[in-house]
Amino acid sequence: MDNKPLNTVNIAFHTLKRKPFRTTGLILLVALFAFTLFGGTVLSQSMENGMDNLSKRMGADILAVPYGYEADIQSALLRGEPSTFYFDADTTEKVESVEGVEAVSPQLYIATLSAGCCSYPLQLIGFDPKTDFIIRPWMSGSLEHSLADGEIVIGSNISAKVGQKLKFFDQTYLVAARLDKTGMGFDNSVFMNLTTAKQVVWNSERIQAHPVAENDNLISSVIIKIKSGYTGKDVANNILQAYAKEGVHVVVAKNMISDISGSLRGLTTYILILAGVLLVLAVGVLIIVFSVTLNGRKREFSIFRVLGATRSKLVKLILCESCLISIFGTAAGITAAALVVFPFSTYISTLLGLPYLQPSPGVLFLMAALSFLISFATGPIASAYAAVQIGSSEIYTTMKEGE
Amino acid sequence: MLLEIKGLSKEYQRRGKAFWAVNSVDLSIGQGDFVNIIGCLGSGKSTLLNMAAGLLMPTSGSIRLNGTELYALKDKDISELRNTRLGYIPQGLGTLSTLTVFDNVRLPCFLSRRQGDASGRASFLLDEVGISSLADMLPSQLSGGELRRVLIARALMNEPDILIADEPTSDLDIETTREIMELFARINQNGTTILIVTHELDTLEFGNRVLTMASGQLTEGSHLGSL
Amino acid sequence: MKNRLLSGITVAVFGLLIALVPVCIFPACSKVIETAAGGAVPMKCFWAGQAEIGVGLLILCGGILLVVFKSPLTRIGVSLMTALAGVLSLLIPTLLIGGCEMPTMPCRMTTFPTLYVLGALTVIACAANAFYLWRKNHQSRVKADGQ
Repeated sequence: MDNKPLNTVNIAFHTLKRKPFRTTGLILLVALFAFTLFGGTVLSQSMENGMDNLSKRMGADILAVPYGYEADIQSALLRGEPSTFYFDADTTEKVESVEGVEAVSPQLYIATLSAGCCSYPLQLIGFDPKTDFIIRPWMSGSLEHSLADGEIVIGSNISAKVGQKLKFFDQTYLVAARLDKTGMGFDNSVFMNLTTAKQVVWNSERIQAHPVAENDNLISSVIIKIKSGYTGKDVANNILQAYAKEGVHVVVAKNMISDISGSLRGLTTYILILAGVLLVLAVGVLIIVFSVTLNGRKREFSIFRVLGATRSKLVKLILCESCLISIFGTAAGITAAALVVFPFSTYISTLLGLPYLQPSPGVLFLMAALSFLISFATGPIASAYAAVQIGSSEIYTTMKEGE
Repeated sequence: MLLEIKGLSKEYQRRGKAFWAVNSVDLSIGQGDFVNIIGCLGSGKSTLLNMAAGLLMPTSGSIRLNGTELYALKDKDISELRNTRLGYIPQGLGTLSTLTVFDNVRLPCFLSRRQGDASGRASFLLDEVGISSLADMLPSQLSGGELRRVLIARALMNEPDILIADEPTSDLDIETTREIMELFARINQNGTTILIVTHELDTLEFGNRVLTMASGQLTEGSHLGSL
Repeated sequence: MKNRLLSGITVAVFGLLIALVPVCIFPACSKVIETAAGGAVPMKCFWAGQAEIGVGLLILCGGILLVVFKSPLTRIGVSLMTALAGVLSLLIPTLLIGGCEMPTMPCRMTTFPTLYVLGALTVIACAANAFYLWRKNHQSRVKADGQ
């Protein structure tokens, strides 16, 4: 015999336990809603975060690339997909002389075949530390000196510490600094000055022929900052007018970012609509299910009243049941969402192909707490109407109806 | 007088016409009485009983329990009165299917937040009604006669002044009916007032007073045979 | 009986999934590295995957045994050992063997996270089952003593 004292929570718990199918069904419904709510918010917040980061710290206004490679530079920037495209190094000076251009800096893209233990393609980016203005803002901790030959800066996804040495094509390079997590292609890239980059290429010659090894005077892209008073569109047109014949093409950063944020907005809206529809659906279905099951239990509730339960006690009992369902459902849903969203964050970001940067643990915790509250509230809200209705009906009538 | 009913009436509307289920009934029950009300189906005896148990608001008339006017009370107070002073045994299956027999019996104690050894009293009562071995079972595992015993034990949980039972022996075989009625008689001997409505004549030998209900009117004595 | 089937089948399904992850659900990186001698050797995430197949099958067997055995004490023992096998399935990709350095490699991106989730679920399910059985066994013993 169980001698534990009976109380509202206890009775509600017993009732739920002895009706496993009804209870599991209701819990699953709440769990589905909590899953979508929490998973969706983390997803859309991470994308928004990545986007914010990109537009805030993307120092370049225009990128000049060889004709036909506009899409490649985007995938290199956003996803770090190794790409190789080249034009003459003197493009840098040519572009610098165009009206409206304030600063320029060349970049050289090299794709590696293997590095370290595992073979994976890696994007090596050669840049000019003296003129660069887009890589420096991402560096975590400041680099005292200008990046020397043989030194590298690594993206946040590359597991090595500052001071450690990394090996590419049988040559070791000293890690001088790391970048912050950017949520884009920079995370998977390794940066070095142009001289070092060319040295890497010569070393790789032994494995595979490389255009840079044959022609020392190549670069992949020129990053351009424009003077104030000029628009990106105007300067881009100026560059195209002067050098399109020579195979120089441009990508306007603002357009690129607005393109991305356009598709991002679409996704976020979609997630919001989904969460909203699910909220209405969950509450609606719960209201129907609760009023059906609760009405089917009229006799049970009238017995409580016969034995001397007050109206408020009965309402409390019903609300307690729905609260328990809500708590279990919400906890299950949020845990399930966490088990998908956090371990698979890299996979999700690759699938999305958009800048993806998870919010800080504090923000994540806040989001979890908020999702918990909203999802938890659905149960009591959905059952409140039926509970009050049953509580206020006449006992003898409900008892007879329930027979 | 323990229970005093005066001019009690209950009116229902049926297809726009007034229908008096109970029509100006007077009844007084003293401490220690064992009263049987007998009547055909639809005679209004259940309606009368439920009004007396504080479960159904009468159209007119008064019900006093130990001098307290029942339907002048607020929901909170009448609930408390049902819990502490009235032991009600509903018609048919009145157990809670999700609680064990033991929890069913001690439930009234929890509802009133009474102090004291609820579990001890529940065990004692289960023993009294002869089903202490079934304490951990669920109501669905019990027979009809055993279920009635659970209901009786539960009604006695808070030591009520009066035990009110609505057809406690319907659907039971003759043997079990006799056992249940003997149980009521024993409870009555211990000092609890009992009011039972029934439509079975063979239960009338138990109890010290019989009334007959017909068409909403209550008369002293057993006239069922003449109806 | 119901609990026996439920717990056993749940654990068996987790085990089966763990064994299947490296085989067909999310295979580890497929590339090979060339050794100095010129031979081709799979990367270490491949070996982690192979080890996980073994651990997964072990957990699958644990689940089956949970269905087969009736004695609560035996089932507690099987649950505990299976929970520890679950811990092993977590240790292989993290400490014992490991995988690629880059988070964007297939093994780090899909194979290992799936194994983490399944391994954690296995540990939780087995530990909860062991705890449940222990409490039930304890209660029934107390009751037997009381009578």
